[in-house]
Amino acid sequence: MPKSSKYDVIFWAAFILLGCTFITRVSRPSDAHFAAHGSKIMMDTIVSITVYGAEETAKPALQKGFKAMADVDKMASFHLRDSELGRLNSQGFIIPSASFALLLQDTTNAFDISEGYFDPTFAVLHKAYGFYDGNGRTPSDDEMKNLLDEIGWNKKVRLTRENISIASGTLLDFGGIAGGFAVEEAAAAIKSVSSSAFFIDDGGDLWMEGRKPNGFPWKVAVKDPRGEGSLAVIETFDSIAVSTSGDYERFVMAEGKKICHIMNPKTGKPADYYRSVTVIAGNPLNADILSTTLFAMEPDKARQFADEKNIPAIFLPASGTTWMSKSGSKWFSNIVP
Amino acid sequence: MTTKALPFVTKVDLYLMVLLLLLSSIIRLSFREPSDSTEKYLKIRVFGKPSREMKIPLNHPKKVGIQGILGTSTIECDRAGRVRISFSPCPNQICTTTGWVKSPFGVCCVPNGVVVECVPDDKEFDGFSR
Repeated sequence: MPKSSKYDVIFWAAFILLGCTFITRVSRPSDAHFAAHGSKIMMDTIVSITVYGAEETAKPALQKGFKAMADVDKMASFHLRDSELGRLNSQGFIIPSASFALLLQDTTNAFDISEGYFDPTFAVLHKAYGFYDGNGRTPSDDEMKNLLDEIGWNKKVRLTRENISIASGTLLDFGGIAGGFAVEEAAAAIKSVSSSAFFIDDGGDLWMEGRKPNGFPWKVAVKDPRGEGSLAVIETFDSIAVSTSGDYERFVMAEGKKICHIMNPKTGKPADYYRSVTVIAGNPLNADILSTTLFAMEPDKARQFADEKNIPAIFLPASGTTWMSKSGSKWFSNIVP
Repeated sequence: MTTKALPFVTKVDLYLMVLLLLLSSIIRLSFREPSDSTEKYLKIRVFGKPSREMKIPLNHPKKVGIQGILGTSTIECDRAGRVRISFSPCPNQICTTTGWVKSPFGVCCVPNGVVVECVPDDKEFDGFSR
């Protein structure tokens, strides 16, 4: 056998190099690892959707997802005068579309389940505190008495099979439920086209469904309002919704004081018990409703409510350290106290 | 007649090897991932006019004007890799009050339609609840 020479070394080096190049090329993400991703400003926030799978289904699924969310935005936006909600608030009566009727029914259920802590008639409070015109103010005690008379989904809203009417002076705002409803509509639209995994981020309210192509679990972080990092981490293979309600992204300033956008409908005052409340649920609608509900509740009530209903939740109080519901410890890790 | 045994590697083989090496190098260089130098960057994704992804060297942080629905918002980066909306023509100023944020989070100004997101260096997280 001939003695190997330097040429042999060069030969094998070239062979290995070419082989490596080939392996690198063939091991690049295949079509199954394709991800269609997009972000749009809608629903008064930024919405991002990622759909995995083959390009020919992922791209149309992405577009369908955004369209479904835009349709809910047009239907339930407080600020659009010609939305169904806009017309209801200005006219006091409408015949709802099938989709809006579904949202109204979901709202009634949310009001009942939350024991009245989730109540879209809080809009009269938002108006009084200056949320809609940006001029923050604090209503007087006399004014507050009158405002409390205007609140109550069970008293001020009449919902029949054919129509909905609201009492004079009542205003509705579906913040706290429309986002979750929209994400559910988007998820249904995506699934009508694609059977692969997808991730929807509606301004920080998340819905992840299916198995990621890389085989890893979904991994999401919860923002810590006190700093620039994370309050907790969630890792799961399950399809879950994560929703956070906080005092740090939506507020007005009145007399130098920050007025949080979530109101306690029982007192008419801004809920100032927490910096943030994060909830995990089996669907986006429940996550959205429950994070708002728990944020509006007094801490003792919130703890009891979350434990009784087995809701995984993490609370960052306005002062003090982070705490979790009983089932929260199964889901949240890397907790920052 | 005596036959001289051919060497294991002939001249032709050698030419072929050089050709293969060249081809390998060309292919490898063509498909290499973009790599950064040792200089650190803040990568941000901006939605507004224009929407774009930007890499800002941390040694040279700067202010960027982004046209929104109501007017121009100013986005500012610092040497610590943080970003904020330092000026906005919006009425409620929630975006400017939010202050500095760091990767992987961002700041959003809904009234002006301007969003700035810090793009994380790694893909550790699929999303962030806030």
